[in-house]
Amino acid sequence: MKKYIQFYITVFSLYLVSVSLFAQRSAPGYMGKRFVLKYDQGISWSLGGDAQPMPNLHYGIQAEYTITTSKTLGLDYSFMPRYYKNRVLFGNSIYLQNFFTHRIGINAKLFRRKAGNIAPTGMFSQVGLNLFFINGQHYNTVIDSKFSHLTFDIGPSIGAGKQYIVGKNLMISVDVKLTLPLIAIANGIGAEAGGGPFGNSDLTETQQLKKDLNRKVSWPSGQANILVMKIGFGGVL
Amino acid sequence: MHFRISLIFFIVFSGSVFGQDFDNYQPIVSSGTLPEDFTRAVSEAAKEAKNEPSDEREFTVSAAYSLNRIMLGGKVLFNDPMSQFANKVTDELLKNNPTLRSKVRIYVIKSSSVNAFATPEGAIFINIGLLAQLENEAQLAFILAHELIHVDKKHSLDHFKKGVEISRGRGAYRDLNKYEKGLAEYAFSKEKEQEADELGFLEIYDKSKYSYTAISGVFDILKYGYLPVDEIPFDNIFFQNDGFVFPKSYKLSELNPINVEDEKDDEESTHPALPIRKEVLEKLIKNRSDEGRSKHIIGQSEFITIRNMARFELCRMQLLDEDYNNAIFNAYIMLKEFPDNKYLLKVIGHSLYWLSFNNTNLGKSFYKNIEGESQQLAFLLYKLTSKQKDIDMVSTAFATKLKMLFPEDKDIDLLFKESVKHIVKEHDFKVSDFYSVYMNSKKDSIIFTKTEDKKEVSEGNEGKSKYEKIASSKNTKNNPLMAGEASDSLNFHKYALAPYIDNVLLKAAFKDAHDAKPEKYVAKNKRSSVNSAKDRNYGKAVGGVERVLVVNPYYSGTREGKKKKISYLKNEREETDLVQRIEECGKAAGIETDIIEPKLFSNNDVELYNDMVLLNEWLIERMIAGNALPEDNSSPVTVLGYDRLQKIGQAHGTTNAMWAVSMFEKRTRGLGIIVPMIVIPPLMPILIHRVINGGSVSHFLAVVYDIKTGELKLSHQHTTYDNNYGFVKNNNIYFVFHQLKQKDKK
Repeated sequence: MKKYIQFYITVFSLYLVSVSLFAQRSAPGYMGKRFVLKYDQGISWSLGGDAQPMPNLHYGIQAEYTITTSKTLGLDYSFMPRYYKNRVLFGNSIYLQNFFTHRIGINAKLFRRKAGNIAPTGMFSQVGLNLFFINGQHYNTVIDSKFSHLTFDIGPSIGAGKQYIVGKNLMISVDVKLTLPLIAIANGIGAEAGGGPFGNSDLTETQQLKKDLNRKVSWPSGQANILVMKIGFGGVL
Repeated sequence: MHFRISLIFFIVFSGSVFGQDFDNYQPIVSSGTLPEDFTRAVSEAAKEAKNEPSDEREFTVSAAYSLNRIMLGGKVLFNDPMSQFANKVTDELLKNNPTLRSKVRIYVIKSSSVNAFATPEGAIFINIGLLAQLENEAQLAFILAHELIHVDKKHSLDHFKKGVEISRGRGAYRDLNKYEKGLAEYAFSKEKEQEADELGFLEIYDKSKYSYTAISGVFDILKYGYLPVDEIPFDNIFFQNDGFVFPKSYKLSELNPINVEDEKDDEESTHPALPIRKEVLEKLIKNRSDEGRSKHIIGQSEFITIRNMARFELCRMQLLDEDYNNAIFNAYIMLKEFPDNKYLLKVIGHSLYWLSFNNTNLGKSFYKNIEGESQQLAFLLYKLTSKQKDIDMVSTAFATKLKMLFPEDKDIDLLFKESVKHIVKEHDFKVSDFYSVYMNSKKDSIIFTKTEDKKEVSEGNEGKSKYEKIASSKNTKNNPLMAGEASDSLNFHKYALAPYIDNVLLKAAFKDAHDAKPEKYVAKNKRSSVNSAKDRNYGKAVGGVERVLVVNPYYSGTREGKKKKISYLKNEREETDLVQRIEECGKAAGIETDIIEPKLFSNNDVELYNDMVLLNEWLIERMIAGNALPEDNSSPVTVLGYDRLQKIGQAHGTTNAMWAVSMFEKRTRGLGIIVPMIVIPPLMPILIHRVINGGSVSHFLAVVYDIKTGELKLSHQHTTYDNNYGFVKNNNIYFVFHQLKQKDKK
């Protein structure tokens, strides 16, 4: 836990440093307000493969700072839970019950000046880098116990959307984001090839199990994060 | 006996009794209380029209909106001598019709075109351009009678209803194509105009004591309205001084005659052809006796005073319209009656200055098609502007002459100093670059006589009206006697300052201009394109502005597409909303705003109205100055009264004046966009936005000038492809204030 907190603090500090390096005083923001804080509600559909066809809900928060007339720099976090009923993993002995994907990302939004947009409002496109922590929880019928394990992923993202202001400083946003969770994709390809590059006959049974679990969890998680539509509510400060 | 002496005294001096001292002419301003036409909101008219049928209600609201726009546009005069005179003539016409008289209000409008028009609410507008061209009071009376019939018989409403009938293809118009429908509308309009002529004469004019013969030439005023107010020969000597003469090639030996042909084809016109109107009027006048009737009832000298005022105003308006030829020529005409008149000379001096300042090259088309005597002036201006040094020096010499004549005048002082500054900047001239000897002392052979020996060729035109001169001038050659002709090689511009070369003021002006070390001038044709310059200036901080005077913010919204429409009530609300947002955004940016908004005027705000009018005219003058971008050159020169402008700045606590225009076009999209939404669901949020937005466009333009220096501090043009959301409006407005406030980029 302590490690995760340290990690998040590090990322946040990097974000603050970036903002102070790039921010220009000439950026007007919205009526002088440059800081945006909002809650994002996302939805995505898993796309074939191991994943069950179901909507995935993403719950997130985003902080954004206007650095120029056309750009903002943002830090966002989201959480996506998935719950299974007896999702078979290995020969009826191990079931996947839940996994929880935590995603933290840094993004830059570009508001099209030629279309008349002034950051942080109007139409935008964005690029970002995301880190995923996927916590899978499993049930072993043989030894009748639950266990969990953690896997990671990383991937760039692009997206587009629009941010509106309602009233004095209430913000509503809609956007679509396309992420490439690189490890999940590699795992997915490996899973289809029946073990692929992760198969290794020198591993112990536990190590092999862990690798298999990583693969079986990261791919559905990755799929669920590839294309996410979001609606956000927040405020400019 | 005493009565007769008093009467003579009254007639001789009534010119000055009726308000204007032409020797110290001050531009006309409005006075008294603001008439109700200014303060009546469109929403009030809509309320009153609540129970009318929908077409008529729409008409009433649109008419109220149009009137509102005219009244608050800053061009209408009220309670001024010209409007008062026009009202007196109307009183005379409607002595026996108090009902109609109570419905109408007469205003004079600052427009140089020769026109008059009426609105359905009973406001009648007479253009200054028309007043300046009249020959007598009776002609004004006939024109007013024509407009009064439009109001009395509700022609505007008839026209509107007919227009609806035609455009919707009802009845006889069902099978007409678009062009034929247009012709049908023109035909109906002509019918109403003819009715106004005839009934205006029979029901109103005939019942007055105005002369019949006096109006026989009234349509000539419209026909020749494009010409200056009189036809007199122009002598190039006017711009020469004792030091130099123009080359021989700077005059035309033959001028274009004035086209006197009558055009009878009026198929594609809203008005009957002038010859037809003239024929109808002549038939009406025929066999009517002029006994007991008069050209002037209010008074001939008052009429002449009013007409002179109109002509004085006209010169300045033409200057602001950049119609330099007519501005100078009309001022030249008036100088015959008012020699060495400061106001008229200032108009001429400023016209030359702007031609010089803007590096204007008028080109051959400028003079080729001009008819009559003013072509001589047009040709001279064309020749002068084809060589930059020529126009610069003639302009500077003229400004110097004015400075010598009127050393205490602030506007002339500014004109003089800026002219010298301009030639120093442009050509790096020093006093020593100019000859101190007169041109005629040089050995090159020229024909030169002193200006006092010049005799003008009058061709027997004294006492004739402009139209009589036109009628008698068919195919005659114009070959005025010139006081001097030089060869082209003499570079006359070097002699231009010869009479003033030792003058202390001129030397001081040169010294100051050189000491100021003007920044490098970027000629308009050499600077980068407007777009890239706009990009460079986008977001550029101006810095340090604490308070801004916002003048008459304007909003216009339309619905584009097949049925282009204006929502009048919405426009009125949006304009009020714009004012509030300007105030809020200014506050958010830390800038105080003082907004002159005519909709908020009370009846006692006539001074504020006059301030608004002056500032709007000054803005037009800035446009003439051509500084559309902050990097352009600026000039504080103004013909409008520098001191008066500064007083406005002091009264409002700032020298920063801002004009803001917000425009919105609502466009609808087809539903074809739904298909991509179905095929590519993730794009739904964006495409839904597109369907709602519909491709609407918002434009926001703002300029901020310093009224002390004439400098353009900020020019902001922003287009947003979005609906007219509140945040879009706020963004646009706040951005301007943000730029004004910010000092640093980082």
